[in-house]
Amino acid sequence: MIWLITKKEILENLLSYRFFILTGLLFLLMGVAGIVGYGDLSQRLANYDILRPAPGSPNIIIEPTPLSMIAKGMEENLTRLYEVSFIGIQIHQNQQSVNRIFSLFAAPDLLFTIKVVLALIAILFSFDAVSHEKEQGTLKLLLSHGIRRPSLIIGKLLGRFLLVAAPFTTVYLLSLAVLSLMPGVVATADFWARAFFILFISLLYTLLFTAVGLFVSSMFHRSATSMVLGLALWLLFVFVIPNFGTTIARSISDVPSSDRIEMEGRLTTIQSIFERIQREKENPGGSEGQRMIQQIRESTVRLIESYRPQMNALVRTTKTILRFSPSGALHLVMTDVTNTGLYEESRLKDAIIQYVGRNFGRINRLEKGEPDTFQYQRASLSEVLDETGLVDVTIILLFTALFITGAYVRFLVYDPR
Amino acid sequence: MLRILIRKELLDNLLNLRFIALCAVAIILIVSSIVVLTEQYRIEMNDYYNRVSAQDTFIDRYGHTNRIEWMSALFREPSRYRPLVLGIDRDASQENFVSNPVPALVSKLDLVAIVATIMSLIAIILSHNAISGEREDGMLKLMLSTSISRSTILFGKFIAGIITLSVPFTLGVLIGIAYVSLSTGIDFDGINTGVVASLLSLSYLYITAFYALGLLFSARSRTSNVAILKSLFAWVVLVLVLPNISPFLAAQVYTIPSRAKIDRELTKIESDDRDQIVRERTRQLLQSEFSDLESIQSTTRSDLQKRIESDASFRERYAGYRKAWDELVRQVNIEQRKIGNAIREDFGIRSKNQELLATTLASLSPLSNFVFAATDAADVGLESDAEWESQAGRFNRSYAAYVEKRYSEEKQKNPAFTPNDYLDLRGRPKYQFQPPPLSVRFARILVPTAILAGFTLLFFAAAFVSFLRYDVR
Repeated sequence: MIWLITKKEILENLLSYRFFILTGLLFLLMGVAGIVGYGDLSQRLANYDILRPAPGSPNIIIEPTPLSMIAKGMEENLTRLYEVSFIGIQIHQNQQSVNRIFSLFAAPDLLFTIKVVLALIAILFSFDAVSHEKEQGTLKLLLSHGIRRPSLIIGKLLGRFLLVAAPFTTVYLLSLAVLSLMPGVVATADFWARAFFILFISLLYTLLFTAVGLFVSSMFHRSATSMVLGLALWLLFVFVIPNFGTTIARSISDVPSSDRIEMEGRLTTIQSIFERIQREKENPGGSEGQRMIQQIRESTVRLIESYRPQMNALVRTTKTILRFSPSGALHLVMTDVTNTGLYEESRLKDAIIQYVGRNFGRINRLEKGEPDTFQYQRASLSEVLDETGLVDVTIILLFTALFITGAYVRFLVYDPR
Repeated sequence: MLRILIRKELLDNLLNLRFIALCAVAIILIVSSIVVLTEQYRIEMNDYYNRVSAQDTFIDRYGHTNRIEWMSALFREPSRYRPLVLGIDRDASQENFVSNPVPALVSKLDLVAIVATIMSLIAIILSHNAISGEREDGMLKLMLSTSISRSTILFGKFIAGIITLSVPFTLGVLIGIAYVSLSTGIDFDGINTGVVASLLSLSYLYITAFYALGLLFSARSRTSNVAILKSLFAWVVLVLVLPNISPFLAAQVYTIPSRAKIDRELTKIESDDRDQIVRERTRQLLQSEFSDLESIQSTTRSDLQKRIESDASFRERYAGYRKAWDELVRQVNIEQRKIGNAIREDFGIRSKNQELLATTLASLSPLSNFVFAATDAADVGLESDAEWESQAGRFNRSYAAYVEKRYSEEKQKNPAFTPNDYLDLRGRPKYQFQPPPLSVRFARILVPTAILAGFTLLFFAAAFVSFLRYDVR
């Protein structure tokens, strides 16, 4: 019986104006996201080729990942050149001028399309599943034919879900297949494993918003009212909680700004240089240079070591607030899985700090020998999932279960008259 | 007649639970975002003052001519309109190794973002069934059969809709501003009132554009279900897609070499190539004019020193050579810098062009025009950035001139004074950002505001024409 209803739902909507326009929108946006993502990746690869340090140089740059075509995340920041010297770790500003406009608007990658538009489409496909049939009177008719309510609601959920999921899966796989064949993109087995994992998460996310649509549909007797509540929930999950959450997190945690820390480091460095010169005047020929470098090193390390835990705490608070919304959780898990997220950022910085710690003497010629080459592998899928991803997946699952239950319960007591 | 219609529509809207709920949500959001951002502004101001005073104390104690630029970085004061408009997010570019990574990942929610996404969506929800919904109810037929003209009906709906949307919005903003001025002591008079007024007017204009867009699709659809689909499609394209893809498209259509490539090229021209040319010309100099001195290339520094001290004629000859050589180096430096500057200039022009292309593409959406105008009205936009850079550049030049003057004063008093000695800079000029007057701001936001107004007019005119031809049966 469930399958019959699923089939009915699909056939009823397949040739509708709505299916046409929403699927068209999805195709258009995913196509644009793919083209933009690829162009962006090629620029990063070209940049990487130019900036890649010669062997023996202590500067650090990591290779751009092709997964950033799916979710750009912080890739732009991760793949910059880190210049290491005795005054600390400096970030090379290699950004393009349109970046100022980038920072006014969000990046239109696949993640954005999925998080924002796919969710909207899922709601628009399901907000009238119950209330519209009630308005037309067909719900009364259906129920009088001995169809049980649970099968009806499950059938509707599946039918509406497949209407969104099937075209999405097709165009997602198609665009990834095309992208993986483009020059410069190395699509390994790992790439595909992550791509399929992202597909799975996206489908789960679609199911969730289909359930949200069904829930609001069985809340009201008029489909127009359902739609308003559906759109309100969509705004809340997609924009309000994530964006407002970061703002709140920043203003409740008392962390000094990074500009402040940067300035403190800079001033202590100048002070050390200045004092060295004064000491050398009094005592020419001493090993003041080495002493200065050690002094600068100690103060920078102290500064970073006391600051990073505070910053990590702030990041943790932000993540907790983001997870109050399934869209926030989706954003976190997708950027983490594509190695462009918060987890990778802190992992890379830890690795750089450790590398500089091991090689500091050799980089600044306090010891003999060449510094090691910086070796870095981005986090594997299982590591990401263990460390942070599973929490987000669980949260999306919980939200899905919550809204499916909500829709189910509301529909059981729905008055079809 | 128009007034009766407006009243009817207003009452319709006000008695409708959905819109009361939506407006309540909008007010709560606006007020809470302003409250939270005020808190953040206070933290930022505190941090800013701390940095400025720490740096001042440092220069008072350790100031010296070398590294003076390094120790006197200029900080940009947070704009006092930050509780309303965040603008270009400097945190997102993560300039420091220890920067907060979150802003690079998730954007923040300020008044501009609330108006741009949420208020525009509410406007569409309010207007999408204004015409098609009334047709479905049969109301439209009824109204037209009494002798009310179509334009009166449309104007009635339009004006009533704008009032319904702007009253709760204005209320929210005013409560928020009252909070800002009570808690931070910023007076909202003179220039600040002008800025707030222009922010409000821009928001009205933007919300009206989307209300008219909803009316347009309502007048082009038979049922309100189709109308909302069409309007949402247009909304997604105008709000979520066009502004976001424009910088990416611009970067790919009009490619410019990356900053890294240019830097590498400049290093090559201004140091590697320069050294090469200097070596080459030194050899030529020694072969032609100073052929008698050619041997000094192979003598060690101490031998040379001895010979200068012992041999008077050699000393004179050598001094002449040094002078010629200094002139040569100066010349090469000028030549190479000229080549370098040409590249810099070319790169600057190309970046400007790329940015212009990106803003032009983005201008196809009302949202971008609204964002450009609102951020520039509040000193945190693209034009204001350029203004800040030029002010900072002017200040840095006068600062450098002051340091230079102080240095030569000390040098006169004490010939042994070096750039590494402590230099008393207590009389140095202090930087104070000069907020541009209202007239400058208005000139800055004129173009995006005009385009935004154009969009509003266009949508309304299209809605008007469509409604005149609407089949009410």
